[in-house]
Amino acid sequence: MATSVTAAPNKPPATPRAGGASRRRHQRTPSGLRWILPGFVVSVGLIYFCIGYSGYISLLRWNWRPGRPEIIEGFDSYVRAFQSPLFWTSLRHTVVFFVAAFVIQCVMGIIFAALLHSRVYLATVFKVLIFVPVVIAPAIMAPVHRRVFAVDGPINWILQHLGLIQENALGNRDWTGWVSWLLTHLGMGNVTPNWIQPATSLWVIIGVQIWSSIGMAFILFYAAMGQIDPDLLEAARIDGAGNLRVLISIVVPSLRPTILALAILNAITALKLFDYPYLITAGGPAHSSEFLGTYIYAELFGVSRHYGYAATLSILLLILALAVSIIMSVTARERRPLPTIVQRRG
Amino acid sequence: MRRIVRPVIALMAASSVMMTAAACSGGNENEGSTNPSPGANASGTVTWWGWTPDTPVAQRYIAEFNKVHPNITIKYTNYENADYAPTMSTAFQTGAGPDIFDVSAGGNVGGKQLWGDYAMDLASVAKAVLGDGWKDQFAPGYVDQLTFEDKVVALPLGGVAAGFFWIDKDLFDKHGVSTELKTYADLKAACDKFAAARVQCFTMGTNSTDTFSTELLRTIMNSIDPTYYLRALHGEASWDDPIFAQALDIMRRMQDDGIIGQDATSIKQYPEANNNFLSRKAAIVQMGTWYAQYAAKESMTNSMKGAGVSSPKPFTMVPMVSPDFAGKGNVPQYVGEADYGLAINEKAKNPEAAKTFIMWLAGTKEGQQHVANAIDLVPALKGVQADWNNLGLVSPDVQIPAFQKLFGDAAAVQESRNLYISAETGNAQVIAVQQALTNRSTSSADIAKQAEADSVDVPAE
Repeated sequence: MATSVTAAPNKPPATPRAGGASRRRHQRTPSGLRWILPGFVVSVGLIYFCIGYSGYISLLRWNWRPGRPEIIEGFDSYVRAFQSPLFWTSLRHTVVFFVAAFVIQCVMGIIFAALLHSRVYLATVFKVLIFVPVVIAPAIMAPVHRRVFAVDGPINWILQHLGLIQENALGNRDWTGWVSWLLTHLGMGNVTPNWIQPATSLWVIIGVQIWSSIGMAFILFYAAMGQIDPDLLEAARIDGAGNLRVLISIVVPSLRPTILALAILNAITALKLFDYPYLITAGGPAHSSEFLGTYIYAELFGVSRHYGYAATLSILLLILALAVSIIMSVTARERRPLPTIVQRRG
Repeated sequence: MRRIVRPVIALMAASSVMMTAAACSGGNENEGSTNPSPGANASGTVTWWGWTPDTPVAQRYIAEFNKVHPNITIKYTNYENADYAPTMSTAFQTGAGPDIFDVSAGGNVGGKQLWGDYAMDLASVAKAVLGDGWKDQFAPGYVDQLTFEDKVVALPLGGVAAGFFWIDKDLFDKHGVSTELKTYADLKAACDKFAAARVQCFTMGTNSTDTFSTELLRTIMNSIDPTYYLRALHGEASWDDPIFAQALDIMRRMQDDGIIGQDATSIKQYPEANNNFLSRKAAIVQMGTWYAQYAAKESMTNSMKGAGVSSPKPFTMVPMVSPDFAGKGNVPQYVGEADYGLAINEKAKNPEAAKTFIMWLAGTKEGQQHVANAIDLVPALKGVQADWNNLGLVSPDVQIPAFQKLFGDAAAVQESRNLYISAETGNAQVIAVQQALTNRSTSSADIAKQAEADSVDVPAE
C-alpha cells in the first residue's frame, strides 16, 4: 500500500516571523530527531565506534598487556591473514557450509511446508516438532550432539544394528559391506566410524546446523506459500497440472523472495558461525572444522592473545558480510517480476 | 597522585601486616610460618576465581580459614580450563576482575605471562610475614617459577608432577591384568585383556585446545631420549627432529593396537576422558598428581556421581610409572613445577583481606596442611606432608605407600612441565597429536615439520 505526501492546496504563502535564523534552523530540524536520538546514539556510539576501534586495533601488534605500548604495524596483519592457510581454510569451510546448509534447508523447508499445507493428520504437532530445534540454545544442545556423534553414540549404534558397522576384537569400530567398499574406492579407506575426525567433522557441524535451523526455513516457506493466490493454483489445476508440476512451476517461483531472504540469512550465519563448531568440535580436529568465528576467538582468547590480528580477521569478516549482503540485495533488485500468467478461458 | 598514593598504601599495608605478624608470633618472625595470622583485623568479602581447585576442595579451604578469620568471606568461582582465559581477559580489561586469582608457572590457561601484569607484587607481603628468608621456606624454585619480570605475582599453593598414569587397580585385579606394565608389549597385552573383557584400556581426549593430550606425546619422547624435549623447548633441538616424528608414530601404533581408544579424537580430556575413568569404563588415564584428590572415598563418590554413576562404589586408584614406550631402556621421568599460586589483583577491592587469605593458605603450616590433605598438590611449604592415615582413602594399605612415593618423587622432580612451553608451541603440539591420530595420509615427519614451523621457543632463564 503506497502512500504519498503532497502539499496542501490553497495554503497561503508563509510569512517571515520574528526570531530570524534560529527559528528557521529549528524549522529545518526533522521533527522525529528527538525520538530517534537515543537509538541513534546507541547505534552510532556503540556499534560503529566498536567497528572503528576494531579497525584501529587491526593496525596494531598488541597482546593487550596493560601499560605496554602497542606497535603500529599498518596493514601487515592483513597481509598475514591473506597469507595464512588457516584463514583460507576457514573461508573454504564457510563457503561449503553456506552452500550445503542453504540448499538442504531450501529443499527440506519447501517439502515440509508443502506437505503441511496439504491435509496432514496432526499437522500442528509436526509444525511444533520441526520448529522446536530453532528455539533451543546451541549451548544446551551441543553436549547432546557430542553424544549423538560419539564413537559409541546413538548414530553408530543404529548403523551397527543395520549391519553397516562392526566392532573388532580391540573394541574399535569399522565399516562393513558396501560402505567399506565405497569408501575404499573413493580413496577414503582410512575414514573410520568416528564422526569427529577431519574427513567428517565439518559435515557434523553442517548437519547439526541444518537440524537446528530447518524450522526457520520451514516457517518462512510455510508463510510464503500462504500468500500465493489460490486462483493461480486453481488455474494450474484446471490446466491439468499435477502436484509436482504445481510445486515446481507455480509454488517455487513464487517463493523466490523467501529463498533470497534465506540465502542472505544463511550467508550471514555462515560468516559468523561460532557456537556449534566451538562447542562440538572446538574447530578441530586439526582445524578441520575451523570457521572464521572460531579462528578469531582462538586468536583473541585461546593461545597468544593476538588482539591486533583477531581484530584484522574481524574487519575482514565485516567486509565479507557487507559484500555478500550487497551482492545479494543487488541481485534481488535486478530480478524481474514474474511473467503475468494469462488465464485461458474455455 | 596515583604514583604517590600507591606506595604509601602499600607501605601502610605492609606495616600493618608486619605489626600484626609480630604481635601474633610472639616476636619470632622467622618462624612465623607456624601461625603468623597476617591481617587479623581484616574483614569483608573477597572474590577468588580459578580453574583449580575443584569447588568442594576450595570450600574446605575456606571453611578452615573462616575458623581462624571469621570476618572474611571468600567467594570462590571455578571455571573450566577453556573458559578461564576468556573470562579473565574480559574481566581485567573492564576492571571487573576478582580480588584473588589463580596463576600458574606456565601454560595457556593461567600462565604468569598471561596474568602477571594484573597482579600485585607479593614479595613484600611474604617477607613481612615470613621474614627475610621467606623464599627458602617454600619448595626449591616454586617462588621463582611464579615470578614474572622481577615481580612475585603469586604465592605457590603447591606443586604438580605429570608424566605417569593412573590405573583402576580393582579393574586390573578383576580381569587378571598385571599392574607391572614396564614395556610397550606389557601395555599391549594388558589392553588386549581389557578389550576381551569389553573394558576400554586407556582413555584420553584430544578434541580440545588444552594441552593434556601432549603429555602422552612428551612422555613417549622422554622414553626415546630423556633430554630431547627440554632441548627442543630451548631451541637447542628442533621439533622436526626424527624423535618427534618417532613419538607420533608410536602414538599411531598405540591407536592401531587398540591402546588409544578410537574416541580419542572426538572427546576432551575434561570432562569425557575423566568421566570414562571415574565411571570405570576405562582402566587407565594419564593425569598428574592433582588426580590423587579423587582417591579418597568421599571425593571419589562425589566425582563418580559427577561422572554419571548413579550408585557409585569407590575403587582403588593408584599411580603407575610410564612404560618404556620406545624400548630403549628409558623409563620416562616425571616432569613438574609449582602448579599454581594465588595472586592478588592490583585493583582488588579488599587487598588486606585477600593478603590474609593467601598468606594463611600458602604461608602457614596450618593452611598448607589443609592443602596437603586435599592431595591435590604437593605442598609448597617445606616440612608439610599429608596426614596419610586420616584421608579416608579407599584402600589405605595399597594407596598410602604408592602415594607417599609419588609425592616424594614429585617433590624431587627436575624437569619443568609447562614453564618453558610457549602458547604457540603448546598449540602446535596439540595440532600435531590431532593430525597424527586422524590423518594417516600425512607422514609423521611432515606433521613434525609443521609443528616446528608453528612453535616459538622460550629461552632458558
